[in-house]
Amino acid sequence: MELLVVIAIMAILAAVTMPAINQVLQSTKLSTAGRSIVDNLNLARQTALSKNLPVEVRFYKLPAFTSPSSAAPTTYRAMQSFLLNDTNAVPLTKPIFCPEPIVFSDNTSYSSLFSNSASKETAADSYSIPGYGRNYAYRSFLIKPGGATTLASDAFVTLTRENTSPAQGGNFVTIQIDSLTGRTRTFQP
Amino acid sequence: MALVIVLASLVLLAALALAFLASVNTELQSSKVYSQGANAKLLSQTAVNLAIAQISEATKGVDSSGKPLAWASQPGMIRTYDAAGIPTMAYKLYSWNQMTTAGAFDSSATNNQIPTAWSTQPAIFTDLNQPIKIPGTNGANVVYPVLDGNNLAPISGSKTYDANGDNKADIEGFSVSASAPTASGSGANPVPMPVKWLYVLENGKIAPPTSSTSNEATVAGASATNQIVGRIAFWTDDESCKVNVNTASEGSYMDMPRFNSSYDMGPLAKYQAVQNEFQRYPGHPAMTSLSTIFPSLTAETIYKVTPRVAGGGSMGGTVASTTPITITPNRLYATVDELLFSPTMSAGSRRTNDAETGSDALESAALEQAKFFITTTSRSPEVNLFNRPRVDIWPVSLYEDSSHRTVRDQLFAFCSTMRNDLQTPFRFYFQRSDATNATTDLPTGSSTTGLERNRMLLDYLKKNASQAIPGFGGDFKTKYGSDFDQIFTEIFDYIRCINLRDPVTKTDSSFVPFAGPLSGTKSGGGQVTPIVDTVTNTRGFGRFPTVSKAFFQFIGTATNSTNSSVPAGKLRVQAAFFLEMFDPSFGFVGVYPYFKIRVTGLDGFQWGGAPYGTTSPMGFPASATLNPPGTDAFNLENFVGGPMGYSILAYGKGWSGANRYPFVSQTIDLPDPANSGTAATDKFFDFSGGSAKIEILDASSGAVVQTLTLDFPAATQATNRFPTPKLAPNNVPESSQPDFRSFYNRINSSITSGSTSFAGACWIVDGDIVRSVEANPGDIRLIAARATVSSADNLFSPHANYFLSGKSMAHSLRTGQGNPYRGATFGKLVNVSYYGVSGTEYWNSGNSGSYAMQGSVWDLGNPSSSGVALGKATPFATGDIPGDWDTGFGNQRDGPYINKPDEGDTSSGSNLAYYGDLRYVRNNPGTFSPNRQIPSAVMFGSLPTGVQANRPWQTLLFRPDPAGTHPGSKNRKGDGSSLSGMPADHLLLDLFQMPVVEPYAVSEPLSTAGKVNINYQILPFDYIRRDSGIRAVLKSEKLISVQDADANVYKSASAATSKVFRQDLNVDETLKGFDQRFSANDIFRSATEICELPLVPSGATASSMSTYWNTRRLTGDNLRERPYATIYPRITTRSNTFTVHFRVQSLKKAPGGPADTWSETRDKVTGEYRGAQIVERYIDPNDSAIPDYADSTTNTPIGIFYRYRVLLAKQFTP
Repeated sequence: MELLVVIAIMAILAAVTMPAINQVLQSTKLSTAGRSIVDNLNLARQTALSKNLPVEVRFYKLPAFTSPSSAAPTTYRAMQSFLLNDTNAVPLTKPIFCPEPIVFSDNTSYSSLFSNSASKETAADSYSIPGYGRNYAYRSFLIKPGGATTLASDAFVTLTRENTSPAQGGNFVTIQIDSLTGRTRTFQP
Repeated sequence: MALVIVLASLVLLAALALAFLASVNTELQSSKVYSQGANAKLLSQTAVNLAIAQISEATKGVDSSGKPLAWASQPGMIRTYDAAGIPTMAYKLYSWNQMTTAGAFDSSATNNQIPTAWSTQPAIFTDLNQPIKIPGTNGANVVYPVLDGNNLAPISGSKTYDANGDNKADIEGFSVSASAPTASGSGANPVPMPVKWLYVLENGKIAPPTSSTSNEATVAGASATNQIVGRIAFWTDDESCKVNVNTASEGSYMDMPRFNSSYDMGPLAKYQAVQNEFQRYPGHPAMTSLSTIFPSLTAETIYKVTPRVAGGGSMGGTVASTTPITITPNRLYATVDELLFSPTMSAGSRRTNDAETGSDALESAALEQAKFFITTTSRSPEVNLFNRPRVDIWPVSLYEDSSHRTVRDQLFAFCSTMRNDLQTPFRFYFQRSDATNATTDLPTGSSTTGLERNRMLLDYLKKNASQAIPGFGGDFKTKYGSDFDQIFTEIFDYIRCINLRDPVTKTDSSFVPFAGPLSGTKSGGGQVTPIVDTVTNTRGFGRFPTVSKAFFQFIGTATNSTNSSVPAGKLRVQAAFFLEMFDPSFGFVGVYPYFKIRVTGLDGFQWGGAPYGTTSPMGFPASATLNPPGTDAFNLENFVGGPMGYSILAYGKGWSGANRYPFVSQTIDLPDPANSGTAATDKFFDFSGGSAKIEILDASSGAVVQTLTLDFPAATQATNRFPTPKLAPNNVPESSQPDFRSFYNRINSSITSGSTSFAGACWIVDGDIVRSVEANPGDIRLIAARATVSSADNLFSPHANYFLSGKSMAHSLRTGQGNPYRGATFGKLVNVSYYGVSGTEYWNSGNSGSYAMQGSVWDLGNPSSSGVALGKATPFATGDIPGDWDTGFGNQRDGPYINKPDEGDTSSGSNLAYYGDLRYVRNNPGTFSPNRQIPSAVMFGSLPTGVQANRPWQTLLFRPDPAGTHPGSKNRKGDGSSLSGMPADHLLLDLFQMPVVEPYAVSEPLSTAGKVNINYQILPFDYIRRDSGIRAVLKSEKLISVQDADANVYKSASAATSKVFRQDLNVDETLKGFDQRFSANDIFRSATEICELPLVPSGATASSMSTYWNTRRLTGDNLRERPYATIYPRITTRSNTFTVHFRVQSLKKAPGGPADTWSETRDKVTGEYRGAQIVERYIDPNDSAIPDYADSTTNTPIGIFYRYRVLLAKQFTP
């Protein structure tokens, strides 16, 4: 009898907290994605410094989460770094995908890196992304061997939940890349 | 239920943990990468330390047994040589498997060469100049760490920079030969710099690799417990091979004018450099031209970016100006990159030098190219080949107050002083105090204090010169024997007579110049009593005249018809005795001669007329002293030393009283040759001859400065009697002049020619008889250098016409301006047709009727008509070596001068500097600069080396001698005989230094900035040619030569000629001489060796230089040595600053695989660090452990006091 009551109470509590957990899960995903991107940017910069070679950082535009992998690329939701030695570009890590439903914001006022003055959208080159082949586009910048970047001025990208925007009160992580030193700063509400 | 919840929470936790760990993974990776990067950075220090250790070992200066070693540096290597001139060791300054090799270094040996297939062995070789490509919007930006490889284009077979494609090299002197070991494939580095890796093991050991296959390397000593952890590669560049932008600017030629040419009168005389126009000071580092590196920049634009050199002033010799240039003390460039910016600000940001110059020659791409060719930190040591301090040649007053030393003098003293912590520091400069005393400035005692330091330094110099010279072998004591001490005393006195009247006196009346006085009567101004070294019995030249000719002049004063006391048929004859003097120190600043002359022994001279057989005394006083006029100096037609006419001693002398000219005889009545009744054989008179002792005395103290004994032979035979003179005329062109029938009138009158009047001209007219005894063979320097001249020295002889009864004139007398007196014979230094010379004697012409003065001529006087020969008293004959003599300044005569430093002359009104009216002293602060006066010790080149050995026309040799027969050449002794192993004269230069103290302290104690290393061969990359440094030095120089055919225009009384006597250099041909040395697998061991390399003028070739001077014999010794005087101070063969370019990698061996083998494919490079560090070896001159090197007991090698510091550390991160 008491057990039933306890179970009932637990069920009610669970039901009440379920939506909240969803929120928590999503914000955890957001934080994780943000940390992951920052870590990879730092790795890219550190590799450039240590190997004394330029590193290209790419942000990939891939089909939406719900679309099949052959659909046209629409959202920026992955990144990867390449070490440019004399002959070819060697990837530092596997591509880092943002967990669903976290994407980079397309709006150039939230992701200035994606404006045409900071980077150019380039079609896929010979590198194949696992799962998507050459069906992608990307924007990139270089980190020079001294740690500086080829960006003209400081740029930033914002991670948000798909279809939400920070202006509407949604959660977000903004990563700012200093163009002269290559270091990152994160901003989160 | 609970389980579900627990599972759900576990899932949640797991998800969180995964996310965390994922980031941890990346962070761990980042940290590992960071630590490997840090490892690589630490390894770079190993590379630099290895380079510093090599340099330190190589520059020790002594071998293991303490014997001195000379060292010389070049990019990539330092070589050492022992005291016999044999190479002992070669120290590589780049990473290779064998870093030191004994003996000579053969760069063509297989194990020293870079194999063409180096790029296929990446485990052994690495390219230090490998670029990093940064992709950009306009194609890849390729950045090179050492030598820029962009914009290379082939021009004449090798590649060089040609960004605008105009087929002209962008940077002169740079090329990459076609045999460069470029790797195959497109995109390969066109300027590779491969060196071998050196592997670093875990315990710190460094080992070279060996290889049997292309991708692997075996490292001895590596094992599982002592893994390979990294590898280093480096190459050291010699900073002094590059042009220093802080000291160089754009040079513009200037010299003392020496010809009657429009070029010498224009840019050199009229448009002289003004104060602070360093770009025109001969021998100053600002004469090194930056346009070699930046050819599109003009001189005026270059002056906008040079920190302490500004444009304006004479604008390269085109504008007459007296306003000093204002130098804004801008910052000196600290690094080459700083050349981008100018010191001024504009709108809150710094202006670029590009905007300042209005060109794009200094934008970043151009500076990327130029970084291999320019530097801001080049320094070279001021120690001689024995690795002991050099002696400064700028003299400084003994008294340290501001009325005896100018600010510049203090700076010179600073540059040559060590151990300022002591009460009496160690001074390596000469001090002076008294210009009127022959012994004060060189005491017999030797100590560190006061003037006794001079003795100590002189002994120090002699000690160095009597030891075998490291790098060359041989010593000067063996070479010159008895003249060894004499040469050093001459050098000491030459130094003592530099800067006689510092023109600071014009603005500061309290300053006491060395050769004063300046105010009042100025007597003795500019005059210096020659120094006498009582220890060695040798004498210098000072700035003092000696006797070159002595003569008797016989005149007819009266006959019966003019003076009834004279018996009929007789002519009353009177004689006088005169001296013509000569000061070998010919030039500015002027001199107010002030001395006394005492002649004794004239009372022994007798004469007698027909009937012959008896002579009576001529009636000269037994001893008389000729005094200067009161307290005034003797007046001169010119006031600049050199040849001095005889009138200076006589002018202004009255007929009676104390001011009377004492050397006039009594009269004698002889049969008048003009009288018809006189028999033909009676028209002569006997002259008994005799010995006249002439003493030159100091005017105030009466001390004897020099004693000369001249013998006048007897002429009492029928064949050689003197002809009787004729009655002198009593009318002269100007009716205001009195008659010539008395010596009083002759020596007091003046001649007016146009608007110029020559006071005290003295006169020798038609009818006079003159017999002289003259310096023969005419190298009066040998006379001037002796304290006592006796007849046994054979330095004087009767004139060639002395015994010829038919000749009325037997002399070669000249006025101070060079005009010959009536009947003077000519003499030639070289057997060519000089201006105004024809026949055998000069007779009348011009506006003087039958009296004296021919127009100006440019021969010397007594030397014979076929020229002078080195080392011989006889005239020049085929097979002789032409004698050494100096070309006079301006339009003045050539002669046996000692190349006096030029203290400057300025134009005044219509009187052009150096040419017009030499009676006034016009040096002023506007024309003054120490370096302009004496650029280097090469100025000693006209000091005679044959005084004791009585070898005339032989001076120090600081120019090439293609025949190798001049005694100054190597393998020759001072007496001309050949002796293998004897050093060349130019090695004496190595003992001295001339510091540069303006525009800023370019020189410091024991080092000078800005000198260019003439060893431009780059090892091991001998396919890269960088001789731009030496081109920058030679660009502003000119070769001075006078063709035999120009004998009657190079100096003349006609209008200035437009002929070119100073030609630009053909640098390509001149460099062939340098290349010859490198192809023989050797380098220059001392910068003085430049004196053996012929400078090729434009229009000639290197091979033609061996006979070039055979048709240009009119070029004086001082002119042939002049270009070397201004090149030598700007070059060196040793450097104190080096740039170590390195590339280091931290390595990680893959597990499995042999521990002592490195595989390029399997094993991993974890981090790389590339960069460069500029290191400087320096010495603290006040280090309390430093001994006095002038002390003969000091044996400590100076190398142990040198330390190393890193001036600039730069990482290659484009």
